[in-house]
Amino acid sequence: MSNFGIKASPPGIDVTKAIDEQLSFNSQYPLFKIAIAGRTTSTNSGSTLKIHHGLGYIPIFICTASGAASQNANDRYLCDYRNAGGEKFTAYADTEDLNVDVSFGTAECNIFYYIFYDPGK
Amino acid sequence: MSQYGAKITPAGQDATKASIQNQQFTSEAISPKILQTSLNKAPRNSGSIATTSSVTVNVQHGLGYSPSFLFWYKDESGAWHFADSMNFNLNNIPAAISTTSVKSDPTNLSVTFANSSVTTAYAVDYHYVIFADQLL
Repeated sequence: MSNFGIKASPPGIDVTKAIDEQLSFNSQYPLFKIAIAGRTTSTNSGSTLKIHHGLGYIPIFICTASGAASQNANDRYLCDYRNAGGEKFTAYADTEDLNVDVSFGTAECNIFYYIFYDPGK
Repeated sequence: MSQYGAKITPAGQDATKASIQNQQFTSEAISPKILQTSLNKAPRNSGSIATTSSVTVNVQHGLGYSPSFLFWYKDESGAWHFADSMNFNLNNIPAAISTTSVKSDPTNLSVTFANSSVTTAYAVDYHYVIFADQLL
């Protein structure tokens, strides 16, 4: 069975000779599979913003945010973020939601997220 | 159309019965698109970050919007750290090498490496992934 599978490589790279790092896809390894992804806004009320996923287990996620009042509006930060002025942003997942605590001192900031089907196992 | 698609499972697992978490690939779910990934060293050219100094690195991506990203760096002991975006140094970090202000903007992924050692200059290995998805 180990001789079967799918590999794909970018143009110019021989798929039969490429090492794993050169492959676009190798069925030997799983890809992250997105359950939900997108952008939402927070009004910095100080309450926890819940992004519902409903998977029933704690998924892997990536969460970034922009809109800190003291920074450029387009600067996007990775959680956890905190600056000397007290602006902060953190995110954590439970079995039902991605929970985002953000306090950026602005009327509205943007939260960007990937939530994957893949559990942390 | 919903009857068509592709699924791949590891050897020994039935692709028709495996849950989505156990599939290597499925056309039912989108995967994040990696624009760039690289292993580099800071300073970008030869040399080291001087004692009690910092170096800012910009990785140009040219997307025109601020992308999602992941970032890791190696401290002077050889341990790899997942970088967050804290933009000030925490006093209790035992390692001499730390990062601050990891962020993306519409042009660059940027990071500042700080060397708090008063005796030793270091070069820093770092690794990043920049995603192409705009996440509108």
